Amino acid sequence: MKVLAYDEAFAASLHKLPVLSDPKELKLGVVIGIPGPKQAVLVHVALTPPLEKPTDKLDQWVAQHAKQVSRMLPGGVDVLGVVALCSPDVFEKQKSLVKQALSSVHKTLAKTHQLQDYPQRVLLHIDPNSFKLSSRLIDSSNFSGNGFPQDAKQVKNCTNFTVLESFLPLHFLGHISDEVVGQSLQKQLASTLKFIEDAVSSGDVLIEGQEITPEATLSSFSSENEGELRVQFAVRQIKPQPCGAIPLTTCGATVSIRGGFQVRAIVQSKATSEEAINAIKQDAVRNLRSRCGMHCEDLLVIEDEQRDPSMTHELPKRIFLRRSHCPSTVPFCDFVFHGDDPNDSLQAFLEILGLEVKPEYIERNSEKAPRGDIQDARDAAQVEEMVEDIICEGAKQLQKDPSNIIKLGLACSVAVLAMLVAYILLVRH
Amino acid sequence: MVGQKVVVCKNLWQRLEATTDVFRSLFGFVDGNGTLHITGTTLQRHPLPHGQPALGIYCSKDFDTESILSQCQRRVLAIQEALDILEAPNFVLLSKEQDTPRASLIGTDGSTESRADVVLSDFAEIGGVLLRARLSIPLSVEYCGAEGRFRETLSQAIGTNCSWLTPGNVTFDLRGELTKINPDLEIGDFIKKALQRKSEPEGTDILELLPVRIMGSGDISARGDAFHSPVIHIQRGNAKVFDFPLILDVVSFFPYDTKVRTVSELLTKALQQQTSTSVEVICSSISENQLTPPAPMHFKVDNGFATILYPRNQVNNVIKFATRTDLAMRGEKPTFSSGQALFFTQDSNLYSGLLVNPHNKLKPPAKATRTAIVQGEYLYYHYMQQKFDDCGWGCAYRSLQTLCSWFRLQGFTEEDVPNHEKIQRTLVEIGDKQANFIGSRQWIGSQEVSFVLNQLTKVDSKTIYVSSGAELATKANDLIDHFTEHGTPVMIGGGQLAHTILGVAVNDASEEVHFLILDPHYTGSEDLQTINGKGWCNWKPQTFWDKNSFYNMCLPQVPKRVEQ
Repeated sequence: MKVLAYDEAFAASLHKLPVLSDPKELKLGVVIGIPGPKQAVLVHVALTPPLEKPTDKLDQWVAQHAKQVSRMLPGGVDVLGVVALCSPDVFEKQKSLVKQALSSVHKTLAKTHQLQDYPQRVLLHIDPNSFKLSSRLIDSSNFSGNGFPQDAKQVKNCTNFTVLESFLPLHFLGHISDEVVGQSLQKQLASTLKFIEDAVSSGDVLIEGQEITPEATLSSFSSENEGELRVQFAVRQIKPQPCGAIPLTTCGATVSIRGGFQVRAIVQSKATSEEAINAIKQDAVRNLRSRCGMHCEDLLVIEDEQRDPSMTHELPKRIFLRRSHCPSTVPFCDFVFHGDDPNDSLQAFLEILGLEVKPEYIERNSEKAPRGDIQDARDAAQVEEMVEDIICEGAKQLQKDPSNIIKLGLACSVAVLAMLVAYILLVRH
Repeated sequence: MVGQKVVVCKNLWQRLEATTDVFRSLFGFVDGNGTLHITGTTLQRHPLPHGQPALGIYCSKDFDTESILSQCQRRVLAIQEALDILEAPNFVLLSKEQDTPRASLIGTDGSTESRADVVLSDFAEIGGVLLRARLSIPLSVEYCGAEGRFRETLSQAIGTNCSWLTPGNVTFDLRGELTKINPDLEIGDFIKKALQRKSEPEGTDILELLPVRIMGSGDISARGDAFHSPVIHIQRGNAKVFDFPLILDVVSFFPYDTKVRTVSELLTKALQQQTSTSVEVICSSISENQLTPPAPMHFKVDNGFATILYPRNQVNNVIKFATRTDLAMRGEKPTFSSGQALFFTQDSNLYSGLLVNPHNKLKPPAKATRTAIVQGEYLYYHYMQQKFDDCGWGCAYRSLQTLCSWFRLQGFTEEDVPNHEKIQRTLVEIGDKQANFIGSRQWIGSQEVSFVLNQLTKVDSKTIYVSSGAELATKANDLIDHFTEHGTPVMIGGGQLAHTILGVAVNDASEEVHFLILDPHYTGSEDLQTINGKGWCNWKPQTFWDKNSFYNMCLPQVPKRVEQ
């Protein structure tokens, strides 16, 4: 990563960075990009929102921001390091604080599914007056060191990306052990989804239905398919082994999984097949873990639900920004809980990525919502509406002719019956 | 439609002629010219009975076509499903007309009918490959002791965890080549490409393809509404479960000119079909709160193959009988015993670590006018195997083991091949030896060999005695008769040595006799080149025998019995 390349659009976007109210002010954020052995591509910088409480530690706050950012990235894109937006004087004075934040970001992201272990991290400084970029690579084994300079420069067409895409099905019926049931919900979910992570990790990847040698480049495929490639995982099955008598064992819970999830990654159009495979595999694992993480964080608020013996976990659905509205055409994403309006994520894009997003910038149909509680609620609302109509109609008739009281009685009976039938249907559903 | 033909296996026609069932499904394969080849019959109404596509119906009564089709609607649906994959336009209606076969070809929609010639064949001329595909799918199924409930949860688990077993989601791997990437190649060319072969081997080739699950919708826009974002339901509560592998294993014969796409679809459908047929067998594989996952066994039946799942993998006479009935089989030879199950020598030519028929590639002496050799399969037992040092004393034990393996592999017994201790213990039990014989290094001779064979496998043996090795040539005709009628390997002991005779070749003009010898004194590894090249299994002249020693031969006789 001796070079940190960025394109013309990124250079132009620097002018839209917030103006510092105080010359001594320091704004930190994260550097988002695509790593490479020689050249990393910088696609976006996201400034960290202001501290919620003055007592919060800045380095931890930036690390949490980096974690949230990493959930909004497609495969192939990572948080590469930390950006400091400040004058050169302030940067020199606050360098130790910035490196501390870089260290915390590195430690936090090490627990996520990254493209690599990052022996070096990017420390980028942006001068808000000159818009000059200066970057250093800091050794992740020694964040207090000075590292060595990285050449941050504008490179034409460096963000000419290819998108890889697939939709993985999830169908499973099985059990988890007593031991797993005793663990946290996140560990339970991780355990139930391990089979898909294993399949993705061990599987070969077919690009446009073809197996490609690791060193071959995607160039020919990318030009034929307008930069969008369809990907499948080829999982070689296990040959049966001789098997003796199997004893009964005790399980802690029954698990069923249904649905599927979209995976999407981007790579440089001249990337090798190996880089493409790593990127799509990263997205499969990271996006599933992100959903579980977000779902569990959401449930922490409702502790009682976690003790419920029968729980249906509807993991949040993924939405993407349309590439034409994304910095460097990277399809940033968000996860939306069912029942929430997808427009709620407009705020997330603004707060976490600093992107002003309009509703029409969002691809809404990349994943469908399950027919679950939400659908039931809609059905129930329809039934309720129908019952109300019957009663209103009855009341109208009664006003016209009081002798129609019998008809009203009948209408009410029908309404009650309808509610009963609807209730039974919902329960059975 | 003039000149169309249907090829029917000769032996199968004999079986069909004898059956009293009114309707039967016919299965087989379709060659590159679109000709239907019928290799087997079944009462099942599956699209792929015993791994081969259903291609028609046999009717033993004199019914008209309309009547047959209306009475066999489920059979016809199954056949249509198979024909769709094969893209074959017709199926066959076979019947008997004055003791000769009569065939009509019916259009898949039932609207057209044309007469076809029936050719009875032994299929020797068809070049093709027997392909095997197998995999193991982990299942976890709750068991509360109630069979009905278990069947229901098992079906649910199979239905969910095997739902991907559909042609669009499965491809097959042969040495790194995927069928999905070569759909329009013929299977013969695909195999040549994968194995870097220049030509096909003689006879039926046997190969294994590894199933590969294709995950991920190739066409995002075409995935429809079926998939939504992930939903995980966790129902807490302790329950007793069986965690076991669902073993799926199918074989199917394909002519070399079959398209790879068709092969892939048929094998996938066959695996899918086996998931549903496994349910009943798994349910009956539970005993004393233990479940033994059934592993399918494949058997050769005339020119076709049959696949059987035995509960708990134990050969069960009821299932054997049911399968014989299903396939309209009769006859004296034992069938569907575990020892007769196909093994796949292309994966490894070793069976349980031993060589199978090491004489296979040896040619008889060039000038021989009459030759007879062992029939069927046997295993080569010799010194030092199973990490047991019997060098210098165990040659007759090893020859006996080879004889026992023949009876095991031919299905005459389910008894495992005995080890030295079992042989000694058997001889003590029948009173032939004292108790201190067990664990000793004492030799045994041809008589002891016949005693043990009789005791363990209920096989009688004939004994031939010669006072000199030079006289053995005079017994050549007896040996030819033996190999022709019984085909079992022969143990011979004399001059402190024991050998196994696998065949005999006579030159009537020169009266020269050669013996095909399997030598149990070999102590090396199971290396066929060494074993044939250094003469441990090869043809030997009559001078091989010591003229100063007497010899006894033990010739095991094949039992005559009709299997029910």
